[in-house]
Amino acid sequence: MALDLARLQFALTTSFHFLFVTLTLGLAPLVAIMHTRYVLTGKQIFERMTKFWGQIYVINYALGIVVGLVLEFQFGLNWSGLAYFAGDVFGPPLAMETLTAFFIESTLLGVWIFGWGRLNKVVHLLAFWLVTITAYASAYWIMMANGFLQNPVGHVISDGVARITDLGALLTNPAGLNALYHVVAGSLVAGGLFVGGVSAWHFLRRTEEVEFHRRSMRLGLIVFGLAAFMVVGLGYTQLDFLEGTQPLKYASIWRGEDLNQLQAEMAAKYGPGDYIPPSWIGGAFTAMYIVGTLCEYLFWLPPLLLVRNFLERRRILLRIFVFLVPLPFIAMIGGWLVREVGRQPWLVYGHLTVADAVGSVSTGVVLTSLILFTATFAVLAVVDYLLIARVARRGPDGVFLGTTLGRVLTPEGERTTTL
Amino acid sequence: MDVIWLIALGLLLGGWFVLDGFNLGLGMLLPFLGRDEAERRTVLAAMGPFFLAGEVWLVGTAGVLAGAFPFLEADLLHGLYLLIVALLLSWVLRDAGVWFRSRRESARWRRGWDRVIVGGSFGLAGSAGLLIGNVLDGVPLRGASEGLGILDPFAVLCAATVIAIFAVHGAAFGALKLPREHALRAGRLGMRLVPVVLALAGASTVLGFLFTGVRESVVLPWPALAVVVIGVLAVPLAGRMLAAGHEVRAFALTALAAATPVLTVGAGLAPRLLEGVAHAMTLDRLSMMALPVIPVLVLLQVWMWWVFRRRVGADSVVFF
Repeated sequence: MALDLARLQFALTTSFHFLFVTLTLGLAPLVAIMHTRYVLTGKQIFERMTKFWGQIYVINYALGIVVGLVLEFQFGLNWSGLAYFAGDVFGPPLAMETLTAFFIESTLLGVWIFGWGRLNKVVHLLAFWLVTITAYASAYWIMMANGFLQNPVGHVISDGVARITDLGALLTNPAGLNALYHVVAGSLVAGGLFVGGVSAWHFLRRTEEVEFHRRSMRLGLIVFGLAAFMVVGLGYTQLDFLEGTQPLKYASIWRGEDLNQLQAEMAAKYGPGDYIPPSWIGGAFTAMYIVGTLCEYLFWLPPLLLVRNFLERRRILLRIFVFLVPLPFIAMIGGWLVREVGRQPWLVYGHLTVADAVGSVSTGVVLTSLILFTATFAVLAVVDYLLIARVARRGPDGVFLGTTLGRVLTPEGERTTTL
Repeated sequence: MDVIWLIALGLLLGGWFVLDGFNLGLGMLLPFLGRDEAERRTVLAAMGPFFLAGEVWLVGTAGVLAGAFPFLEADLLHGLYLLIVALLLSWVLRDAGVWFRSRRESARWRRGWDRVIVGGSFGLAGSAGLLIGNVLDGVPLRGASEGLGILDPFAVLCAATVIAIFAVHGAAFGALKLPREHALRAGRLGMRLVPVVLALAGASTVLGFLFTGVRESVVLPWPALAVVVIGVLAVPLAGRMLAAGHEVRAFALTALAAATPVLTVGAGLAPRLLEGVAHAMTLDRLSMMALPVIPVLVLLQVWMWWVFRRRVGADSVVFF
C-alpha cells in the first residue's frame, strides 16, 4: 500500500513538474530570440515582446521551481532504497544539475527580472541566454539520471551496490540522450504553439496590436514547424532502442506482441514475479501518438499559413490554433507516463524493483504527505494557470516586467501593473 | 577528498542560512516592517533580487547531499520524513506567496498571500531549526525519531533560536536595504530582538549539554561550543552596530550568527557526517566535474550583490 502511494505521489509530482517545465523549455529560446532582436535593433516592439512573453515565462517558472524542489527531495523521502543501491551513480548527475545548471539559471533569472534598466543591455541579454542554456543543461543532467534508471550503463555492482566505472558511458547513455532530444523538440512544439495560439486569440478579438501579434505568431509558428518536423522522428529512435532494452514496455505500447512469452523470459532471467507493466500505458501512448501524428503530417501547415498573413483573417483557423495549445502538454504527460510507468516493476531496470527501493515508511505517513502535497500543488497550479491566462489575455498593454517601485506605489501604476 | 565535499556541503547549507535566512526574517517580520501596502511592497522590493539567489543554496545542498552523501541523505530524509515534508510545504507556500501576492490589486488577495508568506517563512525557519536540532540530537546515526519525536524539547528550542536569529538577520538586512526612515525602524526592531536571540541560544546550548542524545552524538563538543560562543557574541555586537548606524557591519555580524547553526553541526559532528559519504570513485569523478564550478557560483552571487548594492528606492525594479 505504501508502495502504491509512493508511486502515485511520484507520478503526480513529476506530472505537475513537467507541465510547467515544458513551457519553460519551450518559451526560453523564443524570449531569448526576442530579447536579442531588441538589443540588436533597439526597436521598442521587440522590447515589448520580450517583456510580455518574458513575464509569462517568469510566472510559469514559479510553479516549475516549487514542484521541482519537492521532486528532488522525494527520492530521499520515499525511495531511500535507490540511494542505498545506486546513490553513487544516480546522485552525481543530480548534483551536477543543481550546481552547474539550476543554481546559475535561478540566480541569473533574478538578475534578469530585476536588471531592467539597471544593467548594461548586452550583459542583461547575456543573462537571459545563460538562463536558457542552463535550463537546457538541467534537462540534460536530469535525462542522464533518468537514463540510468531506464538502461543502467557505466557501472559495476560490488557488494550489492552500484558504482560508476565508465563516466563517459553514463553521460552519453542513449536511453537518456534520445529522450532528451525528443523532450526538447516536444517542449519547443509546446512553446511555439503556445505563443502562436495566444496571438491567434488576440487576432480573434480583433486586436489593435497587429504588428506585435503578427511578429509573435510568426516566431511561434515557425519554431513550432521546425520542432514538429523533428519530434516524431526523435520519438521513433527511442522506440527502436526500447525494443532491445525494455521489450515488455515496447510490447505493452504496441499491444501486438506476445506479452506472456516475454513475461516467461523475464521470470526465467530474474526470478518469479510480474514483469508486465500496467496495460493502460498503451492508452497514454496513444494520446501522445495522436498529437505526434498531427505534428508528423501537418508540421508544414502553420508556417505556410503565415504567408501574406493569411491566417490572421481566417477566424476558424485562428480558433483551431487556440484549441491546439493544450495538446502538446497532454502528449508530454502521456509520454512521461509511458516512460516511467512502462518500466514497472523496475526502478533501476534489471537491478532494483520499486518494491525493493521504497523506504520503510508507514502507509499513513506517505498518505499524509501525498494528500498535503497534491492538494497544495493542485491549488497553486490552478492559480498559476489563471494568472498566466490573465497575462496572456490582457496582452502587451498589461506588461509589468521591469516596472519600478515608484510606479507601482501610485494608484494608476498599481492598476496597470496588476491583473 | 571527502573532507572537501563536507566543506562544500557546509558552504551550501551555510550559504542558505545566511542568504535565504534574511528573506525568511523579512517574511516573518512583514507585519511589523510592512504596516501598510506601500511598506509591504517596499519590503518585498528589497527582497526581490535576492529571493531566487537565496533559495538556490538549499537546492544546491540537496544536490550535493544526493551526489556526494547519498547515504547521509537517505538516513536524514527517511529518518525525518514528516519534518522534511513540513519544511518543503513551508518552502512551497512561502515561495507561492511571494510570487503571487502582488499580481492582483485586490486587497483581500494580497492580505491572504501576505499571511501565507508570514506563515511559510515561520514554517521554513522553524523546520530548518528542527532539522539542526534533530541532527545534533543524533538522528543520522540512530535512525528516525518516530512520529512527533522530532519535536523533542531540545529540537524545539533550536527551532525557536533559528527563528529568532533569522528575524534579527532580516531586520539587519532591512536596515541595510530599505529606504532611510524605514531602515531605521528595521534597525530598532533588530536591536529589540537581540536579547531574545541571546536567551534562546543560551538556553538551547545549556539544554544541549544536559541532553543525553546530544551528548552522545556530538563527538567534538568543545569545537562545537566554541562556534556557538562566537556566533552568539556576534548578535549583541550586531545590535551595537545597528545602534551606531553601521548597517554593513551589523549585517555581516548577523550573517555570522545565521551561519552558526550549520557551523555548529559541522564542528561537532564532522566525523559522523563523513560516514554517509559516497564511494571514493564517485567522489573523484564528481570532484572533477563539480568542484571547479563552486567558486564560479560564489563569484556569480558576489557580482549579483554588487549589481543590486543600492538601497531600494523609487527607481528600483519590482516584481514581487
